[in-house]
Amino acid sequence: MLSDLLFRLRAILRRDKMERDLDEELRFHFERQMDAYLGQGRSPEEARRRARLAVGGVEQVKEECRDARGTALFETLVQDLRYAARMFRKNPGFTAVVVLTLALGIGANSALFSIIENVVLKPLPYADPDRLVQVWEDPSGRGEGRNSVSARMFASWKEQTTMFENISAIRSLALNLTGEGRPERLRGFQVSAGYLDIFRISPALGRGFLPEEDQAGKDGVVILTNGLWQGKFGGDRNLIGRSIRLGNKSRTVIGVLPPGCPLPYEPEFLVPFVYGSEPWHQSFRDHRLRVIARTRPAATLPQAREEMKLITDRLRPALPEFMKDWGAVVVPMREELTGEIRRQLLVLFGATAFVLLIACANVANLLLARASSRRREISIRVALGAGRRRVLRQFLTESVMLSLFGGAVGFLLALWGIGTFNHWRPASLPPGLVIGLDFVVLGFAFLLSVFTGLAFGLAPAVQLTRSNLEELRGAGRTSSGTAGRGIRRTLIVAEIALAFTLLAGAGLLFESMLRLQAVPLGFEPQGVLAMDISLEDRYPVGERRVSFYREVLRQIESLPGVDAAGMATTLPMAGSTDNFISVEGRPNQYESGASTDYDFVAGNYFRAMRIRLARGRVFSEHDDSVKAPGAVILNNSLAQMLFTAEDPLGRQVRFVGEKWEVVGIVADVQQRGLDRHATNHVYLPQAFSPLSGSLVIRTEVDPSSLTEGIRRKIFTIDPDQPVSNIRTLEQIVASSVVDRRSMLMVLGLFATTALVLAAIGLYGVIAFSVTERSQEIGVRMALGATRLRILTMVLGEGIRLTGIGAITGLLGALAVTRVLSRLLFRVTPTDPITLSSVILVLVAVALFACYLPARRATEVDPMAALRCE
Amino acid sequence: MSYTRLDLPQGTLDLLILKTLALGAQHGWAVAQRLQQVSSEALQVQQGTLYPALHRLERRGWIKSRWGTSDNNRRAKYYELTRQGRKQLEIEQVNWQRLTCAVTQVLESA
Repeated sequence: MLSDLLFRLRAILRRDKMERDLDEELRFHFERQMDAYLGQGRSPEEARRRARLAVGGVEQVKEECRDARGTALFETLVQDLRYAARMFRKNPGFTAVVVLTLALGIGANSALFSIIENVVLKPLPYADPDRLVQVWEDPSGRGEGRNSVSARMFASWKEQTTMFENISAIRSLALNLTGEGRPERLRGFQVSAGYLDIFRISPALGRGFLPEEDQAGKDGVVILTNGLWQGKFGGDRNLIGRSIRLGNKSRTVIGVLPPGCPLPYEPEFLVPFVYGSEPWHQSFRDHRLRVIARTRPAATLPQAREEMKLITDRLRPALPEFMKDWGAVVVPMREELTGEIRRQLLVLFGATAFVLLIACANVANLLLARASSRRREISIRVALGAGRRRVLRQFLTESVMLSLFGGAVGFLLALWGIGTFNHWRPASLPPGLVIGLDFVVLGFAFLLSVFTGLAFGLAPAVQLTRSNLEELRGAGRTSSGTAGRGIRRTLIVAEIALAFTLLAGAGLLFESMLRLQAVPLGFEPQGVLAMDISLEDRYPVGERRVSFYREVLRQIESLPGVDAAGMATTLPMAGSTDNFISVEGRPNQYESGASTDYDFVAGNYFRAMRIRLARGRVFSEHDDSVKAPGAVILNNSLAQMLFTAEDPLGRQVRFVGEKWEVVGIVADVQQRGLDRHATNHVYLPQAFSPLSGSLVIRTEVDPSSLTEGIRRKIFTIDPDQPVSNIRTLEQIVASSVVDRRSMLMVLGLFATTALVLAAIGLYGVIAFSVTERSQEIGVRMALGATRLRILTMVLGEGIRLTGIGAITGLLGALAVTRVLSRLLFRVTPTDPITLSSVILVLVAVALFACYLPARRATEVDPMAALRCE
Repeated sequence: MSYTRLDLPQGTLDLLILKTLALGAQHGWAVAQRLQQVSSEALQVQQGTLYPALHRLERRGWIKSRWGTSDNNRRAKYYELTRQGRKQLEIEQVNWQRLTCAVTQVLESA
């Protein structure tokens, strides 16, 4: 084996000598053959002629000897490459079209692949990531629902579980950082003491939480992320052990996390979650926590699930009525963090694969068309002794080389695409992920290019090498034959079918988007500015708090250009908080009650939002006071659900353990997003709220122009009070559909590319067919066919191909578009209107693509065509 | 060229070349001539098959080549068996005999 390799290597390195030797060896043979004929008494010319006939084609023998020596592979490659390069230089236009087409296909695929590689294939950036899970309560009881967890449920899990080595509650919160320059509102987590151990992360500076630090009284500690430490504290190493004021409470900084250590949902600080420190911790009904855990090394996911089921069953007797059927679900963290985007990415990857296939088909068609003009060349090469396989390889070398050029350009496109992706960065990405190109992607692009080259090179190559000496002897003006036409048409039909499928997908998304935007919001987002304000313990629930935000709202409304200002706990489409509500005085509270979203509101909230009042009244200043008897406003859905035909006004409801009187009914608002059903909603006066909230300001001028004025007003009232997250309501609404919109844009881009490529392909095929048939057309015209007749004949050919493609594509679309169903809104994957619009678009484009060659067909000069014959 | 020529089964030419070279170093032309003579003209080896076969055998290390002077004083490339080639010849010879025996048996039994 080794000697074989050495032999080949020597043969390659000493190529010239080998060639000379081969020449000499064969010449010797020839001379001996000639001598033999001379010996038979023939004349020298005769002997030479006979010897030449006897020994056959010298070049062919040489070729086979090279093959036998094992150098051929390399040598012919160099030869082929040179030849291919020459061909490309001679046809720069053709080369450019092919390279660009392939670059589009390969580039899109490489970009998508690198995103998928990073998002879907790479493990989470933590030790033993497969053992990380997220645990939810499950209202469906069948493992389908995901509900936040109540503190009491979490405590029971933690107490009883044996499958988890560590389990931690997470509560997102925003706290004001004061006393460190300009006040700031920071987003962070309350977590159980074991939180960092679950991720196997230890602080770069200082220490993590001690096990007892999530107990009451010992929780005055905080861990900062590296980003916050660098940004706000200038990377001061002496910060460890120092106290900072966070959430109006003094906390000792005990640790700083290492840089580049992303935590899911990216908190800026961690403080302990102390079970039992707040009243809601004692309830199964108040669901506010996210729960993560790490399974024991020996425990499997099914075991963990089984155990959680057992624990839930044990708790069941203690659960409130409406939770009787609830269960618990254990979800791998990876799926939790990448599930949604993974689905979308796979859909897009499928789409890019389609684009690549279309690009391949197009290039194959181009090569096929060009092949017919190269038939003579091939015939001559075959006649001169080139083997069929040799010619085949020449062609494949050419197509792979084209494809590699395309791949190189495509790789640049992919770089650009990934840059754009990183810039745009969808919210649903796992933490800290920046997509980069690496060798895996480079390898992918390379392999893809090679395979692509082989794929589109094979058809023309095979077809070409079928040509033989017969054709050389023939007129040389032979058409490319029915076989070639057959392949070309099959390819174009496939292209149209693929393009159709993509268009159908994009069309369905587009239709969903339209319907989504037609959903009545229940409020008017135009011209409303929103900002978060966190009142916290500095303004504990009570009169001081009320007078503070009243003053803030009053001052804001006094600004020129402001129409109305109000405040609410959670703005529509920016989240929701829910709890249980029931009608006071009914025998079975839980039977008649319902779960509802709730908001504490203040000021002219309803006016600022333009939420329509249906009946009764909105809150007055009188209602908004802790001393007032509680008044509530229900939305239509909730009023319907609780009271059906009865009049809700003046009735009493029970909510968060208090009695409230219904004073008004307002229209439904799309609180949880455009694609959700309107949810129940109850509004309560802000005075009773222990929570932070957001200000909403309706303006008569450009909302963002008022930002600084509002900031200054608040600063003059309380210089330690930050506002954060300033945006317009329109931005909030837009960001609630941003995933769909980006998906639509990317898919739309791919679909358009596919359509354009398919149109170019169709144009090419029809144009070629017109050229091929120009004599026939000439004859027809000479025999009296009108121009219109010729036009319809050519157009008919194109439409027939388009029709077959569209039907095939329709079947494909019916099979494939269901993967989109999660992204669709009030549109079924088989929506007849969308699909027929797509057919119309396709036919229109096809007609356009065929019209130019069809027109050319009518301009054929019958005399010229006939003379050619 | 209207000889009734026999087509050699795949791999047989290699065996014949090895056998011919077992007698001593030869150049390509002589190998062809010898095969033709010994087989009473039934086997005509074309240069198009002979030389690729020689080069293939050389690559496999069964024969080696050197340049020498032929009987008519011209430079010619001589091939001879290597030790490995000799072993290979024995193996192939045995194989061939077993094969022909088997084929003959089958043909005669029918």
